[in-house]
Amino acid sequence: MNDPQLRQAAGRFVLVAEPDWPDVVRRSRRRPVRRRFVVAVVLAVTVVIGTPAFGIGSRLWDLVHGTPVDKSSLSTRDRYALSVVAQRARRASFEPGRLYELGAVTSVLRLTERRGWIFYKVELEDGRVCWAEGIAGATERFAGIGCEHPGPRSFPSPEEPVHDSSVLAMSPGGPEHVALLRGLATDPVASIAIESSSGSKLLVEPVVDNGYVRTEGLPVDGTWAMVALDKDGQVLHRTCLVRACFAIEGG
Amino acid sequence: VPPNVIRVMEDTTAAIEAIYRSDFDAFTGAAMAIVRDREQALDAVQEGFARALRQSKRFRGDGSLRGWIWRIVLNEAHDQLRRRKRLLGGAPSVNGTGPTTPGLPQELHKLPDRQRLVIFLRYYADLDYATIAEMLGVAEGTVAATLNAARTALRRRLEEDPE
Repeated sequence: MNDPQLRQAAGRFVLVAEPDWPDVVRRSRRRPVRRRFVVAVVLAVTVVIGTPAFGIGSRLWDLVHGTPVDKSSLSTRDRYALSVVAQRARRASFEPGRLYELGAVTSVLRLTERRGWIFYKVELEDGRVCWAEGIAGATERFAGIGCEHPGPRSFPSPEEPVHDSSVLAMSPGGPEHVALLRGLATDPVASIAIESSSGSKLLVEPVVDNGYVRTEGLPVDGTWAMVALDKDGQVLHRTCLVRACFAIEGG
Repeated sequence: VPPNVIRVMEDTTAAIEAIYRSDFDAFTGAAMAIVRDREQALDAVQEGFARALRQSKRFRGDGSLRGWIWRIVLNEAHDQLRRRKRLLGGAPSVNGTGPTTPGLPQELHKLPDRQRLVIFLRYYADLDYATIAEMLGVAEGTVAATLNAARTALRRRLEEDPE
């Protein structure tokens, strides 16, 4: 095996394709939404299976103000939820009397509370980070949880300043809309708005202590996208909420 | 915006387009070495250059423009790979693009991601160690060690299965 042979073998990766510079220019003029589409697809699945379960990793955001949660204080169902995500188990039925081991869970941090919802960050031994949320005062802390390996542009980062865990309503025949608006946002995000297709603001919810929650007065008709705004009203991040938006805006 | 700034922006855009056209094969090949899926590789290159255009004002000239673009495109390819892994819940499937006959090309496809990429950058894109190190954000010694490990692994596998 010599260098020319290696060069020839490496050349097998080269694709037979023509450069398309106009396509590059077109792409550069629109905001990337593919990643957000993935998040929204998970949102849709969330509605279908009734388990809000997704999360985005943390790398940049200063979350030292999170309060550690004593793992021994977690309910059996919470321990079950954590063990399922830690073991990447796709199917595991809940057994009320079982003691679910949490050896793979490094830490559970309580981050913030907003309008009766508490947000958590869970760190796993294998490096994954989970984001969870639950209703304050409930026996089970976690209503939803999801994990992934943090990437360079995962939440929280300038490219991904919002971790949205809203619930979308997609009843047959009815308009797609946000049934529960909730999530975490980085410090520069002052508010979250739901926009119509024309860009008009149907609802603006302030971000307080990095959290946003809205359970009432959510628009039903005309929902199109969600935007994160800074204190001057500048758009920091945009996410399609309905399928038509993805189709038209290239998601 | 001062006229001289506009001029710089125009020059940068033209330079990015020139790099795109001259190095298109190398970029798509490197993306392919990462994602091992034709459509995703092409998408990574297009998205990477689109991002470079959007962010061209951020290029401060403290390294080569080509190196800066390479980092963006490689990051985009890695992001695509991560997204696919996340959607599939584990290791990505290879989209039937690998060589089917035994030999060096097939063994190259089986290398770990980083080794496969470094082999491509060194032997096809003909980049020196310093440039590869700059692109990948590692030390030159790491590039050398990665290449050495890749060559050793290839040699061993070919000896084990000479066909």
